[in-house]
Amino acid sequence: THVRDAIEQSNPGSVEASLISARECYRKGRNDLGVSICEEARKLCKQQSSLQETYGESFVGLSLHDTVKKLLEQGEIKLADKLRSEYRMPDKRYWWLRILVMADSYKWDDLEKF
Amino acid sequence: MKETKMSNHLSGGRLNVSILQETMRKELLNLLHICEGSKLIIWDEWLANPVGLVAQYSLLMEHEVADIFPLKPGTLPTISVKHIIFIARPKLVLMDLVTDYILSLRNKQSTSVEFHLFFVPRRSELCEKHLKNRGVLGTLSIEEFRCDIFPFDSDVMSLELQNDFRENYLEGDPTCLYNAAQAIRTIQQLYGIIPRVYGKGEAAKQVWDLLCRLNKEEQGSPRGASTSCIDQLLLLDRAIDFTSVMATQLTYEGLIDELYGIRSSTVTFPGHKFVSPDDARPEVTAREKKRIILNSSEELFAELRDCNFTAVGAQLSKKARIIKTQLDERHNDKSVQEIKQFVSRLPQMLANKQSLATHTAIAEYIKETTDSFEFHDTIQCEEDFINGIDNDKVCPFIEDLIAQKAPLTKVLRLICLQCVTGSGLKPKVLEYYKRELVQVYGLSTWLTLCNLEKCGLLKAQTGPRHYTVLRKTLHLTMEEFEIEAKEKSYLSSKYIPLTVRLSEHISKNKGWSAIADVLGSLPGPLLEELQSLQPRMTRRNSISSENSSSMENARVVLVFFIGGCTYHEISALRSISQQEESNVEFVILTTKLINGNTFMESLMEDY
Repeated sequence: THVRDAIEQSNPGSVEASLISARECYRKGRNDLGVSICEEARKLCKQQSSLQETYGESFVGLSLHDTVKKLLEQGEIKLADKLRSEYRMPDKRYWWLRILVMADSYKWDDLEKF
Repeated sequence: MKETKMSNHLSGGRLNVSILQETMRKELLNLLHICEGSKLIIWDEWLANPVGLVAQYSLLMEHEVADIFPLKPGTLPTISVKHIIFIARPKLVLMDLVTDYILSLRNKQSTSVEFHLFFVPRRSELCEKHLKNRGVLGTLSIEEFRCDIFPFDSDVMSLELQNDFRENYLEGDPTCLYNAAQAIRTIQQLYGIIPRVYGKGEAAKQVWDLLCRLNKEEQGSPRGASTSCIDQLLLLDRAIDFTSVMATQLTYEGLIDELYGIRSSTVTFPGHKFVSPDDARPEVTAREKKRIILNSSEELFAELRDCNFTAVGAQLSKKARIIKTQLDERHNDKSVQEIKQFVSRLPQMLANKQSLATHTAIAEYIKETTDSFEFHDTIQCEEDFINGIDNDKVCPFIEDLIAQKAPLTKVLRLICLQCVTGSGLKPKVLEYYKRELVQVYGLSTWLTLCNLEKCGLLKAQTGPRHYTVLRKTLHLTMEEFEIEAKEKSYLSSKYIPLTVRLSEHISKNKGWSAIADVLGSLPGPLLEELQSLQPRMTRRNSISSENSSSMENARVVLVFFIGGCTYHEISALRSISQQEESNVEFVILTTKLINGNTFMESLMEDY
C-alpha cells in the first residue's frame, strides 16, 4: 500500500518517502525483489526530478523505459546509455528502443549507419 | 406479439430458458405497477444491457415509462413525471449518485415526485445505511427487483456480475458467492431440485455450503418440490483452469469477443463495411457504429458461432451459393401455385441474405487481424506453451513484445499462460519478467503483478509439473492427425479446455472417482453430493444406484462457472453434445462471460 501511495503522489519528495517505507516493509518480509524494485524506483525518481530541472519537461512518474525513450528522442544518447548500464537494461530491449526511436523520428540515415 | 417472437431462441433446448425470462419480466412489471402513473427510469448503466434481455425498451414504454436515463454524474434534464425510479445494483458509488440526483432535484422542483429505488438483485443493509446517513432514505421507497439470472440463449445464462473474480480472490468480498448460491436457488425454484451435484475448487465448495445453509434457513417456505429436468449440476471454480482463459479464443464467436467485445449478446462494429449498395445514405452508415445482437435466433450465426474461424469463410461461401440458387428458382417457376410458394418463402430468404451480408462483413473485419503476422506469432507462442514447449525459459517473443511496449494485457496474458502451463515459472524467469515489466510499464505494474500472484496466476515453480500430467490424462491437446480423424467440424481448436473435459467426464461417469488422483493436483476440494427432494436430507458422498435407469436416457447437465467462462468453452461444450454418440445436453450458467483481456483487466491495478 505504500507503493500505491507512491504512485498517487506527484511531488517527488513524498514519492521517495513512500518508496522508502515500502522498501522497509519488503525488507521485513524478506522479499528481496520487492526491496530492489522499490530501491530502483526511488533512485529513478530522484534522477527524474533532476532531469526535470535540466530540461523543463516532466519526467517524474514515467517508467524507466519511457525515461530512456524520452532522452533518446531529445538526442541525449550518452545520458540514455548511462541509465541503461545503471539499471542493467537488457541489450535486446535497449537496441529495440534505439531502433524504434530512430524510425519514429525518421532518422533513416542514422538507422542505416547502425 | 413482438415479445414472443423475440424470445423464441430461448426455448429451443431441453431446458426451457424462456420460463426464466418470463418470470423475471413479470417481476419487473409487478414492480412498475406499484408506481401508478407516468414514470421516469434511471438506470445503473451496467444493468441496461442485461435487463434489456429480459424486458425490451418497447415493453417498458407500454407501461407508462416516459423516458430512460443512465445513472451518471451530472444533472439530468427535468421532466415532470409522477415517479422517478432508480434501478441499480447495491453499490455505494451508485448510492451516492442517487443521493446527489435526489438532492439536486429537491432544490429545483416544487412539484411532488415520488422516488423509488429498485435494487438488483437484492437490497443491501450497507447501502440503505449509506442512504440514511445522507438523509434521503426517508424519501425513497425501496424495492427489490430479484433478477439475478439473465437469459442469453437457449443454453447460456449469466449472472452478469462485474469483477466477481477480483472481489472474491483479491478483495475478499464473497458477495458473488452469495449471489451464485442464490442463483442456484432461483433455478431450483423454477425447474425443481437437481439430483446430482458435483464440483471442483474452493469457490465451488463455498457456494455449495452456502446453498445448503440458505436452504436450511428457509425450511418453512415452499420450494420447488419436483425433481428437475436438469440431472446434474457441476460447479466449477475459475481458479482451477486459467489456461482456457489466457489462450486466445479461435472460434467465430470467441474471436468476435476477443477483438470487439461482446456485452450481453450485443456487439458494436465500425460501420464502413456494412454499407450495402441499396443503402439510401451510404455515407451515414459508414460513419455510424453498427450494433448487432448475437444469439441463436439468427440461423446463420447459430451455425457459425462455434466453428473455428478458419472454417467460417468456406461456410459463408457455401451459404451464399445456396441462397443464390434459391433466389434463382423464381425464373423457373411456372405455375401460379409455384410462384405463390416462392413468395411465401421470400421473407425468410431475404432475411437469410441480409444475415449473410452481415456476417461476411464481420468475418472481413476479423480476417484483417487474423491475417497479420503478429497474430500468427502470438498464436504460435500460445500453442507452444500449451503443448509444453519451452515453458521453463524466458520466451524471446515475450521479450520482444515488452521491448516494443506492446499492450500490457497482451504481455501479461502470455506470461500467465506460460506460467499456468508450466505449473509455475522458474524463480529466475519470474524475477526477470517482473523486473522487465516494472522497468517498461512503470511502478503500477508491480502492484498488478502482486495481484496476479495473489490469485495464483503467477507463481514460482514448486514440485512436479501438474499441467503436463493433466494434459496427457485428460487429453487436452489434439494433434493434427487426430483432428482429421474426428470430424473437423466437431473440434474448434487444438486445445480443449480443462473445464470442458471435466464436464464431459462428469456427464459420462457417475462421479469423480476415475480421475480423482489427477484432480488432486488442482487447487480446491472435490465435491460430490446427492440432493433428495428435501434438501435438508442431503447426504454426503452417497452415490446410490437408485435411479440408474434414468442415466441411460438423455441427460441435461448444468455447468456453473464461478468466476466467469469464455465463449470457447461454451462452444466446446456444445460440440460435445452434438457428437453422435452423445446423449447429453449442456446448459451453461456463469457469473459473467469473460475473455482473457477482460479477465486480465479486472485484475490490473489502475482498473
